[in-house]
Formats: sequence, C-alpha cells, structure tokens
Amino acid sequence: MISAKRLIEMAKKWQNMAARKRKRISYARNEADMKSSSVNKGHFVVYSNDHKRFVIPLKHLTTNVFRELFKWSEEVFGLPTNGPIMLPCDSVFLDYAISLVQEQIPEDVEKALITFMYACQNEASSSFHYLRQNNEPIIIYGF
Amino acid sequence: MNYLTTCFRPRVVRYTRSGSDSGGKQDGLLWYKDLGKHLNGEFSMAVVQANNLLEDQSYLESGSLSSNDSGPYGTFFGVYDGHGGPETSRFINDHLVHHLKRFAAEQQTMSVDIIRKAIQATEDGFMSLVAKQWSMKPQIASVGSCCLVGVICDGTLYIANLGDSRAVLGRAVKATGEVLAVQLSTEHNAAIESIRHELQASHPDDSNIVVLKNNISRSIGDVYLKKAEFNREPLYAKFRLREPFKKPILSSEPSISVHQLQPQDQFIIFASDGLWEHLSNQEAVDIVQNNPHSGIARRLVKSALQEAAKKREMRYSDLKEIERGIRRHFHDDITVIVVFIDSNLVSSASNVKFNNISVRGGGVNFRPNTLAPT
Repeated sequence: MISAKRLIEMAKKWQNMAARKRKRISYARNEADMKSSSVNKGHFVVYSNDHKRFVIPLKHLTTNVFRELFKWSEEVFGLPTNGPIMLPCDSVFLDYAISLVQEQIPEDVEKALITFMYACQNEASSSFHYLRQNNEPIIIYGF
Repeated sequence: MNYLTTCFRPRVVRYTRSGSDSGGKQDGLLWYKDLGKHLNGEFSMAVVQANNLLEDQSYLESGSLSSNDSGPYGTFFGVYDGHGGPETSRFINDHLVHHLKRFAAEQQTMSVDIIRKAIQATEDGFMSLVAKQWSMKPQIASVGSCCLVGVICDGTLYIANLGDSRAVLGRAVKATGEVLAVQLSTEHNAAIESIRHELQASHPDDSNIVVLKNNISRSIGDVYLKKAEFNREPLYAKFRLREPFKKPILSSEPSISVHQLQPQDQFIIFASDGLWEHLSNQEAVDIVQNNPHSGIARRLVKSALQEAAKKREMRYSDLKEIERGIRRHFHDDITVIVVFIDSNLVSSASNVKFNNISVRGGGVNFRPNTLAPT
C-alpha cells in the first residue's frame, strides 16, 4: 500500500505535468456549448462529477486507467441509462489521468493511480480537491 | 374461433428432421439471421454483444414441439437476458425447450400448464447445478437470468415472462391502416410502482426488499436471493445480503398470458431490455411495419444503437467499433426476435412440406480471454 505522503508527492508531480500540457490547448467550453456542436469522429465523451465534459480519443478506452475509471463509475452510479457516462472523480483528477494516459505513463505510476482509485472507491470521491490551486480552464482533448 | 384454429393448424404437413441451426452471420459483435421461415410465417433475429461474455441468449424452434417428433406443431421462441454472468441464460437455452417438448409429448398438446412446468423444471435444474458447484464455484449462486418465452400453437399465442424482457404485438387497425403496439408481457421490474407494491406486500418484514440487483423481482437463478443457505460464505461479501431472509426475495413464478391470434395480428417483437431502454413499443412496431421483413431484427438493433450513441454523445460509427467488455458502459447486450404471423400463408401452406428449424441466437459463445472476430 502506498502512503498518503507518497500519493501527495505523486499527485503534485502529475499536476505539474498536466499544467505543462495545458498550455497547448486552452479553451473552455460549458455543457450547453458542447451539446449543440457535433461530436468528433473517433472520440467518446465522459463527464466528471463537477459536470465538466471531456472528449477523449477512443483508443484510450482500452487503457488500464480508463478500464478502472469505468469500473469505478459502475460501482458508484451503476451503468448509464438515459444520459452520458459520468465518472465519479472531479475534473482535476480526470485531467491528470488523461494527461498520464497521453504521456504513456510508466508502469509504477499507472499502478499508483489505479491503487488510488481503489482507495477512493471506499471513500467519498474528489479527494483531490485540495490540490486545486487555480481556476484554469478545463482541457478539452481531441481538438 | 374455430375457423382460426383450423387455419393455424397445418393439416397434411410432413415433418422431416433437419440439422439444428439454420445459420446466422457474425459481423464483429453483431450476430444476425436476416430472414427464416417458421411454421406460421417468417422470422428475423439479431443479437449485439456488449458484455465481455454474451449474457443474452435466444432460441427459435419451429415444427414439431414434442420430443418424439409428433404433435403438437408450432413455433417456440425465447429470449434469456442473463445478469452477473452468462451461466444461467445459457442453462435456460440448453434446457427449457427440451423440458417443454418432453411435457408436450406426454400430453400431446400445448398448454399454460406445460409452459409453467417447463420453466419450473429449468429453475429446479439450475438450483441443483448451483448446489453441486457451490463449494468450488460459489459465484454461481449470484448469477441469474430473465426469461421470456413465446409459443404459437393451434392459433394460440402463449407468452410467459420473468423479468424485464418484453413481447410486443403489432396489430393492424383496419379503419385507419395503422399498426398499433400491444404489449403482451408483464414486466417484473421494481422500478414499476405496482411491482414495488407487490414486493412490499409479500415481504412485510423486510425493509430491503426493493434494493434488488437490476431491479428485477422475478427470475431464473439468483439462488442467493431465493434460498438463505446460499446467502453466506464462500459467496463474496459484496453479493451477500446483511440481514437473513425467511421468504425468497425473488420469485421464479412466471406471468403467463394466452392470446387467440386474430387475422389483424401481424407480428411479435421479442427483445431483451437492451432494446426497450432505447426504443418505445410503438417506435419498434413502426420500424417493423415500415420496412422489409428481411433484416428487420438487425434494423431494430441498429436503431437502438443509434439512440444509445446519441445519449452517450458520440457517433454511431464509433460506438459500433468499441470492443466487448468496456462496451457495456455504452449499451447493454441486445437481442431481438421478430416473428411474423401470416395467416394466409399458414392456411395455404397445409400441403407444403415444412422442415423443422432451430436457430440459436448469438452464434459462437466466446470464452474469456479469446478475441472477438474482427
């Protein structure tokens, strides 16, 4: 099991990585804007629990990180019925997760992330809230 | 009604035994048989897999409905939507029709009683299997299945149901030319208020009664919710109920209805809830009414998937490329059987030879860790 201190260290590292990537794509959109626009080919959509919409390349569906995120979502919300797929984590966490997947993360970091998700399944989600330091726009992937 | 009975009963039909299965095609996770002939008309079947192991099972057999190849003659069709794993739905598919044919051979007829006994025998058989495998494979106690069965025989349509699959009849209205959707099956889903009341009334001491897996109140299997001796270790704690129960929580008693077929009864749509969560009864009936018979089940599946893609805010062309397993987050396994009822064909077909036919939906059943065909 990983200690809380080690987790926070890792989270900070991920946050820096995500912040670097954020410079590349930077426009924010809200839910209403996105619903009216057509969906990009080759992408799927998930929402974080703070209602941010993420458009993600389909190839990421097969990664361990997304498999675990989906499993976690099923535990918390059940399978989606009439609406889009909701993940039980907030947009900051999802941001990190996506940037890690895009970076082709090292195995040990992936393991740590998945361990963290398991831990969260037993507690309330959004444990990463305290790490949020600014109100940067959310990254929309796939553009 | 007598004239109809005669009209649906083939008089000089010679039955020859053919090999089982009349083929179907596989295209990725979609299996389909676009058009086949049963004793009273045509049929079309389609199955799309979303779970890692296909949990929906389905079957159609037409010709002799008796184990000794004599009467009664007719068409049997079933949709079995499993949950917690594929074991129960596969078990039903392997056994129910044989029980039915055995009882029908004994009594030389078809009846509500025969269908009820066949379902009961299937449930009992699965219970014995669970008891046998319990020590080695306790998870088997937490696997279950919905069960929807239709039988057309001598101008009568029997529908038996446990769970939330649905049978819908398309009935022509002469005056207007419309085809109306008439739901034939009773659903047992705790999301429906009357079902919730039924459960609470039959379990006055149990406060947990409506917290059920999949909200289903009747099923085959789910033995851990029917017999308290299986609601304990070694079954994983997450499946077990905390409080012991005295009465079975789920019932295995089917709702059975009987309809005398009328000339205006055009077709029956049989489908698992994977279809009905995306299409209304009337939408499905309109699609069948306004399109060619061949490929109609596949068209219904496609319409449901298009609707699912819309809800998940993605393209249909992308949705259908998602691999099994992770795909269950986008839609459920979907099984559709459309059975057309052609009274003209049946009355004039009395001298035509009809070969027994049997089709098992879904074709190949993948084992874990094997790759789906591309």
